[in-house]
Amino acid sequence: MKRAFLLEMTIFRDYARQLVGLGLLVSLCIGLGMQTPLAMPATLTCMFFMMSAMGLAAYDQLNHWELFRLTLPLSRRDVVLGRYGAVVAFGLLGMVVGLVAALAATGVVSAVGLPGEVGEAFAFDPDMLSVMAVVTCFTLLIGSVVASVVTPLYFRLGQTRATQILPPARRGAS
Amino acid sequence: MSGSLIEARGLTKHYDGFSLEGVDLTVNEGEVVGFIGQNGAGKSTTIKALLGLFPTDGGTSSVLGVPSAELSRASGAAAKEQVGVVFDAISLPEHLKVADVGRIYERAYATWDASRFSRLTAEFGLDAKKTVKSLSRGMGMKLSLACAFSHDARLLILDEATAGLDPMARDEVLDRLRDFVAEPGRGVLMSSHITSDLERIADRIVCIDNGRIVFDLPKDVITDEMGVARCRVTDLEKIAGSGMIAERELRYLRHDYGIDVLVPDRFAFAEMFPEIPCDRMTIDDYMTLTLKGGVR
Repeated sequence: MKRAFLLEMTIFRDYARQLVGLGLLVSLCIGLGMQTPLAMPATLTCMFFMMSAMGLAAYDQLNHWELFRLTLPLSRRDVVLGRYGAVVAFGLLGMVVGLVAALAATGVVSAVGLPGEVGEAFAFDPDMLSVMAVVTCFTLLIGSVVASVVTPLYFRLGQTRATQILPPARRGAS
Repeated sequence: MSGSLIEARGLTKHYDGFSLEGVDLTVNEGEVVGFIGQNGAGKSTTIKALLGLFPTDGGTSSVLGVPSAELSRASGAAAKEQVGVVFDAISLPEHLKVADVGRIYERAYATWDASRFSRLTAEFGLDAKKTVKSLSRGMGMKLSLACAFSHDARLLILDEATAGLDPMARDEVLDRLRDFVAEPGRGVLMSSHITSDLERIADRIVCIDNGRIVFDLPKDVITDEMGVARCRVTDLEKIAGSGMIAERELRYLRHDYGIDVLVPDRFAFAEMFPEIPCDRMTIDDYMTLTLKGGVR
């Protein structure tokens, strides 16, 4: 499983770097829009779980990689466990980056002393840390549930086909 | 069978519109087996079945003594350390750089030789910073071959691996394959449309057509013993009447200006019919006469 996990990390590395930058921007915008830094780690945690599940599945379909990968000394079980491991690793990476970014944002705002509601919302408050942790764990749960539902579908159907089927299936279920 | 690196008996797989039917194929130690056939004949399907990439509907197959069905399971995955595979197009995510590909293989194979990979990529003219997407087809094949040669494999399975290579690169690859198979315990299964490459390097030629094995012969029997008699209609009747070739084995192909006849022993033929030109058989000619030739 370790080999498969390291393969996934290598393949997703460049995209993950782009995702960190994009995620920081998106989470900052959401935090400013919602006037609370609590949204920042929550956004990045959920985003990284879902984007890594989708992105890694998308790479499977490039140049028949998913078929060729099985000619390497890996079993299907290694590949599946490695995928889940990578999704969890990237999700946790998102959470850590989000938490650090939120703390950095509150630190910068407090140091600069922004006036108005944004300044008040981003002012450092020790109680906010525990709330941030709870909210982040909640979105970690959401993100991991979504990833655990879509990942088997991506393996079974391929990311393209699964993406076509999922929205109508969801509408049908509701 | 001892010394078999690949063994398939009665391999069968059914799809809509195509089936592999009872494919028998072996690759022994020290052999280069050329695997030929028309487009869509079943070469790639056979190779993928041997590697256990999909379940089959009948027969048995094994690679390095491990049943193909086990190769994708935990019990058999380790055997793939000794198998180098090249498909007909580069099969890696296209955003990866050449250096990233080396890292991928380093993480996958315990026997990875990074310095050999660096040497091969340099010899093949592959820039470590270039992405897979920016490589031409030939450069992509060179990268795949560099990967296959760099983890101390015992068995190479090459599916159209020399397609797209320039003549100098093909020469170099064939030389490396010769060196590879010269080491004890090694073998190569090589599917190719470039039959001139197989004439230079293969020990045995296996032909598949419509999912069935048509012939499995030593290469030397085809190229050194057999011949193609370039005949007229009267010559064909003379050959048929002589009894030199059994009626049901007398294969021929009509052209606009003559008839080509498959001759099992061109030396004996030349003695019996010195007036009829008889050329050496090539793998191409033998495949054409076998697949498209008429039988009296």
